[in-house]
Amino acid sequence: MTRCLSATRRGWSVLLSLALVMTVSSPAFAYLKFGFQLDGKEFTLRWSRSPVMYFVSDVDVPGVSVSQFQGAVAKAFMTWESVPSASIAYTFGGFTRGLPGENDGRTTLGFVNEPELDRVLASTSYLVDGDTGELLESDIFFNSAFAWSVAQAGERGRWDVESIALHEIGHLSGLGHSAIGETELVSGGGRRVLSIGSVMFPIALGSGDISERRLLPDDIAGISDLYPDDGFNDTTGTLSGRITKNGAGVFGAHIVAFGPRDGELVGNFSLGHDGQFSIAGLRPGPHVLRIEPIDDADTDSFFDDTEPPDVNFRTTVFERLVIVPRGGDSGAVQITVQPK
Amino acid sequence: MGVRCITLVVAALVCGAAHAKAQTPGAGRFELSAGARWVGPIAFGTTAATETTFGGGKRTLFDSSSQLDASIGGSVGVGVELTRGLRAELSVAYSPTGLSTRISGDVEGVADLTVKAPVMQFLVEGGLQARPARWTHGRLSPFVTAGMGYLRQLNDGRTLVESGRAWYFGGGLYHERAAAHPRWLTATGVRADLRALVLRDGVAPDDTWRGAPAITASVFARF
Repeated sequence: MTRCLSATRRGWSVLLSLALVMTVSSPAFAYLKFGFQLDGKEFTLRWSRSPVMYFVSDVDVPGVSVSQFQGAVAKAFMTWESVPSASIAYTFGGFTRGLPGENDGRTTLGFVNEPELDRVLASTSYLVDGDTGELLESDIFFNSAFAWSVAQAGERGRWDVESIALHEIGHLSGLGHSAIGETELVSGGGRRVLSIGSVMFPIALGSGDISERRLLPDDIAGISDLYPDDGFNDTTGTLSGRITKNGAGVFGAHIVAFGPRDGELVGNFSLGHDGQFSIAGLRPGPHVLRIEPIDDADTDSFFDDTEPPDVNFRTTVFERLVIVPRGGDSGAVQITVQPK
Repeated sequence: MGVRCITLVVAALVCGAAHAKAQTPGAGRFELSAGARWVGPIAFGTTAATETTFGGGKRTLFDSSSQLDASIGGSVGVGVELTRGLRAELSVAYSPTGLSTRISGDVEGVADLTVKAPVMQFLVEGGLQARPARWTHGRLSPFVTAGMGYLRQLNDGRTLVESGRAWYFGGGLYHERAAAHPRWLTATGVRADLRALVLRDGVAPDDTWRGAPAITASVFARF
């Protein structure tokens, strides 16, 4: 599904400054593709050309040299590229004196010091052709106000470049935040992540942690849905349906499909006010559906403030196992949730 | 239509048995049978829904345990005598069953529940049946049987078709009477067997061989 974002047209190009930030305290769930509207026409945010060429800013930070930084982000790019069911590829174009955020037509990753963004580890921005909707550039800035590391086993008190890059490259590729994850509120504000079920969860597990160097089923389903390799659509299936409460559609419900065969968790949201949802890239077979409100996360990590999701319903497990066919759709599943 | 035909065949066999005379059991080159089969549940094991924690640990959101439910269905078969006391058998069994998953221990307090999806199961089996004459006592004659099969399982709405393999071994008992018109019908009666059914693949989560008991009760006629 595509979450539409309205963009302001500016000359021939549009800069989509999305809230695609990796923060140090906030929640996460399943995959979500980004979309936007230009002249009333909907586009899905994705690269039309592959490989995607990227550049690295010639900026060192304490503990991480430019070449070490490039090595770490190259591993993260390779992790996405290695998803067998996805066709996207990336290539390193070289080092540059340019910085991320400069609309120079170059996809650039690098460090920028933004001490006022005290909860933002990294952020991704896009430059889109205002006429064709083509994605021209996507930059990732890493906030050098934080301490970083490229140590193989991680480094206590320092954020792992490869882990954070993996999340941001998901955005660079067109994926939004996933809500598969759990957090708890901490005294003094913010949230602490208890666990994540997707690299695309908006909050990182913590400094020194390297367990987010590996993609999870939700991430793999998302990138494969955006850039399906030959056979992906024939070998996986889609689960779709509608969430209602008191007879009306529920907007922003989080639906997670659990495969009892392999334990995989893949999710999405009901993205229309009629409560409709669709989860693609599922392995054929039975799935348990769990529907929950986004009540342990900041909803603006997933939705516009102008369109808040409905969080006033109880977490529900759908009463039937839903069978996902190979190369097809489950057929519309009707799920009713109860108010809290 | 198919159900009606099977019912008529069964009724004809039962009537034939009622008018039969006592003769030496075991005669007849061909055997037709039809009856009901119960297959026990097959446990598929447990799978937890987990997320990754700091340091790479796992946190369980909820647990699940799945099984193919017990089923009662129909079975028809044909047998051909190869030698005295040894028969080749071919049967087709159909049983509507269900895939069940029990969800428990949800971290957000969702009450434990079992979710299900219907499954249509077909099993085509072929094997050998040994029924030595010396085992026969009056109208009762025990037998042992073993063979292999092809499993076909169709999920809800036939949205997904899965195939698998089967092995079976077991034994049973005939209670038979010689027929009243031995020129074409030599014996009729009832037959019961208990077998160990070992299945692989199909709707199962992996390629592990899993066993279940199966009990079949049928009427038969020999020609």
